[in-house]
Amino acid sequence: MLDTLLSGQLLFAAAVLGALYALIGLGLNLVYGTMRLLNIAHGDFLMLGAYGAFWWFTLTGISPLIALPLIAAGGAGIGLALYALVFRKQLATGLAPAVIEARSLLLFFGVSVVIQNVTALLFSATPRAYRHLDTVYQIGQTAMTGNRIASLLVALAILGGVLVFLNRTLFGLEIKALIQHREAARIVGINVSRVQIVAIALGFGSAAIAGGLLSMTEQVTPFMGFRFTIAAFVVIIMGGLGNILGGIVAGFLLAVIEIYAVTLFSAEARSILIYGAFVAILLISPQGLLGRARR
Amino acid sequence: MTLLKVDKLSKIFGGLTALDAVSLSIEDGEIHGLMGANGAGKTTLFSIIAGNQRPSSGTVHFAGARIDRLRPDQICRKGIARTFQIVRPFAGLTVRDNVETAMLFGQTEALSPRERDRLIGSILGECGLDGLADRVASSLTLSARKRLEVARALATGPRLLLLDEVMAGLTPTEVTDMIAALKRVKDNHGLTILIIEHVMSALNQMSDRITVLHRGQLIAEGTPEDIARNPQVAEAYFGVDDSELEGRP
Amino acid sequence: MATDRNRQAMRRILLPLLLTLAGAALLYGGGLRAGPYWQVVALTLAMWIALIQSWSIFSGLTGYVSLGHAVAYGLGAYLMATQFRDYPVWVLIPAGGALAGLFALIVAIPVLRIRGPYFVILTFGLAELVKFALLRLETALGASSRLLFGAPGTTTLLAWMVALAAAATLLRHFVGLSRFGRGLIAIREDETAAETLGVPVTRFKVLAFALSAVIPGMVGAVMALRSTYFEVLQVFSPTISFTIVTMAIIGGSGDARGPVLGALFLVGLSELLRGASPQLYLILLGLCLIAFVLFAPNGLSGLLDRRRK
Ligand SMILES: Nc1ncnc2c1ncn2[C@@H]1O[C@H](COP(=O)(O)OP(=O)(O)OP(=O)(O)O)[C@@H](O)[C@H]1O
Ligand SMILES: [Mg+2]
Repeated sequence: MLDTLLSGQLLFAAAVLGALYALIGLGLNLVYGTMRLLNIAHGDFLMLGAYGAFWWFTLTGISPLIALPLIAAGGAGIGLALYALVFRKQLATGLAPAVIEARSLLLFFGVSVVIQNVTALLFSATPRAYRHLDTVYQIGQTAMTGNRIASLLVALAILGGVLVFLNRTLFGLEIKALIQHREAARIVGINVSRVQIVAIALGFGSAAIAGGLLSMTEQVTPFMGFRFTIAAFVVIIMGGLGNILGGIVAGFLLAVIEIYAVTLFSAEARSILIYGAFVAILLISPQGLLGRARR
Repeated sequence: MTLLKVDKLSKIFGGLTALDAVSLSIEDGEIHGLMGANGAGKTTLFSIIAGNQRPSSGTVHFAGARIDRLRPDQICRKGIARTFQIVRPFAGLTVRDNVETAMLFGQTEALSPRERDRLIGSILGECGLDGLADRVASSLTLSARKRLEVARALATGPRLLLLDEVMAGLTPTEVTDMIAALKRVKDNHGLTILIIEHVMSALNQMSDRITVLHRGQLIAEGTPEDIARNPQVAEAYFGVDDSELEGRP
Repeated sequence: MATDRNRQAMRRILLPLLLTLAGAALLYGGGLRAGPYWQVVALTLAMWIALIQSWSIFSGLTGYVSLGHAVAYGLGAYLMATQFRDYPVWVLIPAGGALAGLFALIVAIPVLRIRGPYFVILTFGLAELVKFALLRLETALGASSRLLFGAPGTTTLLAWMVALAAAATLLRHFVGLSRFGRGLIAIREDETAAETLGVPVTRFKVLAFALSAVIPGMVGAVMALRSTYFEVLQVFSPTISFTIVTMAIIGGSGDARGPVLGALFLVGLSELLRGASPQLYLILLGLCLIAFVLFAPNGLSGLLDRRRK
């Protein structure tokens, strides 16, 4: 038993999942952090990315890894369209922040339902999957499929890239400043709406990429996103809002907990665990994300 | 008789000591002024007395009973009402409904609808809100909102009224009106008033005694004349150098 | 003055009472006469009215949007499905309401400390947690779905459901007028101010939350009889919570008219789309929600008021 638990196999599985969680957590951090709106449609952008990869591969036969920039652009484009059509006006209404947040939550909820069901209408609710890079490599005791290795590497590369962007470029620093010190950022003269646009594009784009990667190893369905929305919230609450590095650590941590729970108990334990963690975290940190942000 | 007794009250926010062992007694029937520069801890003191915040240490007694562990609604029903420096009207309700809500919950005994109507009418009159009864609170001017804060506090039927800068942002005529109104209100309702104000002339005109806070500590207490002559107060109020004022709203 | 008061009593008490009773009679009588197809439509309409009015007792008055009311519905249905063979229906329906209310009472105390949008996603997460936990329990018991034999016919269920809808409507209306309701509205407007002015906010929120779960529990119990078939994923479906919120937003939750308007609107929409795919219905639901939040946040009843002014 202990052998299985300490095996490279589980750690590898946790690393692959953790990298994806870290990626969607990063995206949500950017979107929530810069707009202060709870994007409960985040997982649906992952789902869209997964469908994009599926259809790309099915129609062209070319590796979806090649199409990732396209997929990211698609996610970013839809996210920006939503921002321009729906949320920018909300943010500019001058209503109390609590009212804006409550309304936006309902709007995102509507958006989520529309995206899921349009997808189901277009592509049917049947789960889809494809085989790509599924050669098994044996490294020591650990068997790894090519697609999982690729998924892990790409996700890590993107995480690294975004980290460098956020920490080393002026623009990235402005995004971080906006997330962490909203009022101060305004005072210092940061162009808030321009920063928001970039952060939104990055946030939605990275969710779509996570979906593209996930589609290589998991079945794709129109309703797959919600689980990841919840996971993303767990990740950013655990890691701390605006704390990009904390979020990445939390992503891996959640994945480890999840993989081990599934191994020790059952596959059904996964949903219970994720929602359980979600509820527990919100209850323990009653101010949720905001409480941390003010510190 | 001492109505309110604050004993060695401290409040620490993270690393910041907002109140540092403040002790204070308010006598029944007096108007007691509370002054101090921005960030001195005045509003924090109110929040603790009214139960909106818990003290880090120290006690508060009201009419002989300890109240610092009670919830705000319990304290309200014991007879303490506060206004908020940053006004908090029920924005979507009319002025009348704002006041009526306070009356329904703050008063310890239930009033008949007729008595309620009468009392609402008289309170609105005292606070200069007669014509505005059916206006939605969000449509009021700042001055009217401040008066609504007072009206709502009065409607709870308090013995002690805590007023937090109800004159800030008002024009000089409005201030004069407000002072007159408050004096009237105090006599009509038999109140004791603890009032925070930056407008020193107003405070001097009204107060029987004044307490001065500075960076969380009580530095002076006495009649308005005593306070005006107190060198420590002058130091605290006018001796602060400009760099300390910067960054404060 | 006296006639003023009488007129006010008329407008606030007598008229809503009469309108509700007339509406109930119309729904039930109309359903009976119009044949089986319309009976089902009437039943569905009554079900949504009962659910939204109950939801609105808590969420409409306090402003805390609950996305977890499917749990109340599901618990009532679950109780009925598991106990149907052993207890009479007239015991199980109120018991379903009591169970839902009790559950709400227990979770309310920790959950209601959380405010704003966090409360909304928390209720959603909690509902999903309950759903998956029960699913696990059912799998462990080896009962992935349950059948109910010998349930009462549609006309009987229609009568019960219309009664529940009428009860929920009156409850919503009179709670709104009561001192309790005034306290809840104060909480919606500004919780800190409400507390400072003497409203016992925690007690009121918890009570309202529990109260708003009771009728949905009873509705769930009745609906389990209607479908004669029980599956956890179906009766605890987040779609139920989502539909409640959407209908409430579309109708407006500021008074007892809104839920009726919202339910009429969406049941009408689903009738129009009968035969089309369920996805199309949900897409329109989502679009309606977005449109109303953006352009008419006070819903249809808000629009009516505006027109009158
Ligand atoms: N909730 C809080 N968390 C952290 N710090 C706080 C909090 N409330 C007040 N403070 C700090 O405590 C100190 C005292 O604040 P307080 O509002 O009591 O001052 P005040 O005397 O009312 O000032 P003003 O004249 O500006 O109203 C300030 O430095 C303030 O920043
Ligand atoms: Mg203050």
